[in-house]
Amino acid sequence: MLIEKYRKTIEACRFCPMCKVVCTVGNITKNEANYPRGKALILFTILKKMREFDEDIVERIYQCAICGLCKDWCISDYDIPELIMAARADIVNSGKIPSRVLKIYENIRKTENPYAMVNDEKISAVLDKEIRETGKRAKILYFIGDTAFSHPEIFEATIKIFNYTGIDFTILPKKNRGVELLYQLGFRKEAKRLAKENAEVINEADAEVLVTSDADEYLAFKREYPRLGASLNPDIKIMHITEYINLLLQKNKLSFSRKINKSVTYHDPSSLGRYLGIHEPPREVIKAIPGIEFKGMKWNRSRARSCGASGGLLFTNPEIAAKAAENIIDEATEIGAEIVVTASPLCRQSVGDCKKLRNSSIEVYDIAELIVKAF
Amino acid sequence: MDKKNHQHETIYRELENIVGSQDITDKKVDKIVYSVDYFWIPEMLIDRGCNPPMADYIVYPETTEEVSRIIQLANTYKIPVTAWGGGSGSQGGALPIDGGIIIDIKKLDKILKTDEKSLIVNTQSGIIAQNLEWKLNERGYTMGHFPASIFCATIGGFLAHRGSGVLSTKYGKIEDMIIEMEVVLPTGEIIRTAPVPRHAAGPDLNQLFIGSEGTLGIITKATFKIHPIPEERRFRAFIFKNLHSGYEAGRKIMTSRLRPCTIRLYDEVETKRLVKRVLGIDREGVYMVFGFDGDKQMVDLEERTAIKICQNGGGEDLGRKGGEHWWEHKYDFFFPPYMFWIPQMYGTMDTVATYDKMEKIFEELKKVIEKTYPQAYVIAHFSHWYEWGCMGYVRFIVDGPPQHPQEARKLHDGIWDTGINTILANGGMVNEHHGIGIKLARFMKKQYGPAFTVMEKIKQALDPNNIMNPKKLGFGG
Ligand SMILES: Cc1cc2nc3c(=O)[nH]c(=O)nc-3n(C[C@H](O)[C@H](O)[C@H](O)COP(=O)(O)OP(=O)(O)OC[C@H]3O[C@@H](n4cnc5c(N)ncnc54)[C@H](O)[C@@H]3O)c2cc1C
Ligand code: SF4
Ligand code: SF4
Repeated sequence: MLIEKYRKTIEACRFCPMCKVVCTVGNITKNEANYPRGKALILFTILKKMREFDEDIVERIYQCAICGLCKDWCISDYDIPELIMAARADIVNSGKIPSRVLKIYENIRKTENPYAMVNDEKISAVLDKEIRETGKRAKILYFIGDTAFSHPEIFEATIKIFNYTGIDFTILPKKNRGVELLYQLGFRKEAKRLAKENAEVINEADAEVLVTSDADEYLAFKREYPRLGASLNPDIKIMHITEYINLLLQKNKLSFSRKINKSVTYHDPSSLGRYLGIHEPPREVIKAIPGIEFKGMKWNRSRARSCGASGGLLFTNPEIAAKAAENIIDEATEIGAEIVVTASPLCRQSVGDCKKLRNSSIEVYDIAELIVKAF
Repeated sequence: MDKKNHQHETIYRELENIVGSQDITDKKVDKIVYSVDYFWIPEMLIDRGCNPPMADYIVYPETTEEVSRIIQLANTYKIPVTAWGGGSGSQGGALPIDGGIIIDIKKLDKILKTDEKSLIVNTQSGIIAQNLEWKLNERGYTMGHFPASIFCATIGGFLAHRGSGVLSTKYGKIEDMIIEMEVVLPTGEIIRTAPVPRHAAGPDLNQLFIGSEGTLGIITKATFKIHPIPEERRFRAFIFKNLHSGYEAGRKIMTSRLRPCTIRLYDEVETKRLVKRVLGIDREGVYMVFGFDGDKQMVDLEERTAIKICQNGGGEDLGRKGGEHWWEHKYDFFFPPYMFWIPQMYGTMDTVATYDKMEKIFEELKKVIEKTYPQAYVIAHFSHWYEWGCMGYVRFIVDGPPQHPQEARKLHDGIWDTGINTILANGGMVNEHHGIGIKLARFMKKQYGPAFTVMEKIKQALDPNNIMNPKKLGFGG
């Protein structure tokens, strides 16, 4: 079993309550089985062969945002997110995949998208309007990612940024299939296959820089591809859109002509912030837009609250994810922000949908959407 | 129809009607997690592959009224009710040893009112202590309650166990912070204690329920004193040659009526092992840290006097850095791998006594336990200092305890019997801030003698069906 590799984490965390106060899911459900201690305790009973993965245990193991707050809080290096991902892979291997999770997998298999709501016509319309040619060789290769694909307004904005700056760019001819979600849900074989296929087309595209606005896929390029044995050409520089735009700003290749007279806060996606340490570029980009009053979240950077979108939670446990997203809106309201900007289409979806539910006047945007408003 | 199943389903539905389907579980996966708190015995049982007793249902009420209705239901069916806060108690207090209903209090986590004129805060009891402290800090206040379990224990749990934090020497134990409380009685009535704690209208009801560990009711709301965040807070460390000279310096600081927020004195072994490992201060002797906070001029003055006392007692001044470092890392001691944990066997015999007795209690404890159980070693620090005495945080550790659960338990209970009997024989209290639970229940009669009947009679009167947390605190089940 893969969890055996994390025995040390299991044995440390199974009786330790010290990160309870930060756990995203535990602090929503309040169920002791959802906190790191509970998760490790349950997995200990599996290791000890007191129990096997059953429907209820599997349900709890998928109730985790893989947000990494517990790991960041811990003064030692026990790794609950990695443990949970290993447990999910064990669950997949044992064939005891819960139906909600299986549905996501099936969606990905059938439509190459976890939402199964790819609107090809709308996507083509955007692509046709915004770019003439896809799949040509160019310096910049834009990897859209599967969440943005089902939200054409996000990739439309991103493409507008490239066009606005006159950058020579291309996008992959095939759909941009996500690896991170599959990996986090435990489908390692499938993740590996897709990562290898993606790596192949990316390498073939022969670009200098691979840019993505999908923070989760960025994490996948940096962390999952290497461990899945999917080799990206080391000469290709991989950048998140916020890093790339910040670079353009620094080189004076981008400037804003319109003011946005609003107070704006930034929600750090776990993948970009906590896992990859990219905290400043998105902030610098937002602050560079004239008129904006930047208001920092109380919980920020590596300690930012999770919006509940990651770890597959948005699909497997939307009720829990929605409450996590509400926490973000609450925090933004408390600090008096009018706009919440994030740098991950998945977070934008989670927080944005929650806003609709709560009838708040706060607006939620992906960073690309905010930027084009300032052109 | 299976009678047991029928009964289970019936009660489940009734509970579901009270709290809603999202706030109840009877899944085994959850029940296992709720069968282990921070008591070594259930941890050991799980480690050895055994299952500690489990609850039948776990519910998450969101209002006081729901708590009341759950308790009324439990009276109808005469099934046990155990309150669960953060499950961080080390005495087995929250364990459902007779099954029944666990009421997890954590959804009662709203701060209801901060009265900045009176400097008090009213909150529901299920809030994790750190969340309350953070919210107060945002407005410039502090509760002054900094227990090492601040990240995981609820404010109600602290009330239930008479808990205390590292600055208790100035800010008090939780029972000193209380203004008033709302309690759901064992028969379901919702009561409030008096609006203020200082009055002459009969006994103090707050103090009846504080420390009652969920056996006399469930605390649902509480109002506490709060304080402006002090202008200055300073810590300073000293090294003394031996425990006695450090102890005397601490005692003199207190009996000269200075008001430090903390004094912590680590014995030779803790200094050598823990202080070195966690704080990186590698010195022979005993490490002491003290602190003052408040108005800067007062802090200057008090600190100067305390330094003089320590220097006169032969202490070597490590300066502020040596003390601030402790403050920054004060909770690190309780994270793995610094904390003692299985496979080790360990237990904290926190006890309190007057100054004339405390040193002797520790000496005796160490001597008797280490002699009777050569496989065990005993370490201590002294924190929570009062005008008249202090607490000894005495721990025993066995590095390689027996694997067999019964043998492990026999050794564990034997060490506890020896330890507590030694404490009681030398004038110490059975416990200072962790409470009684099931771990120390058997010593309550011995501690109180005939006075325990007072508690028993109160218990019988308030909880006629004996459903509230049976077998805890020395009450029968
Ligand atoms: C790492 C660590 C460090 C610790 N350090 C300290 C410390 O510095 N100071 C300290 O005092 N303690 C400390 N403790 C012990 C523990 O945190 C305290 O005993 C705390 O009071 C328990 O609170 P809880 O919410 O976890 O309660 P639980 O463990 O859930 O319950 C404890 C008892 O209180 C009862 N109870 C809980 N909530 C209520 C309620 N609302 N009404 C009535 N009864 C209730 C339960 O039935 C049970 O009997 C530490 C524990 C750990 C794990
Ligand atoms: S991650 Fe660290 S703080 Fe959290 S349970 Fe594990 S050891 Fe404790
Ligand atoms: S990764 Fe996030 S949700 Fe999962 S246990 Fe850690 S803090 Fe909780």
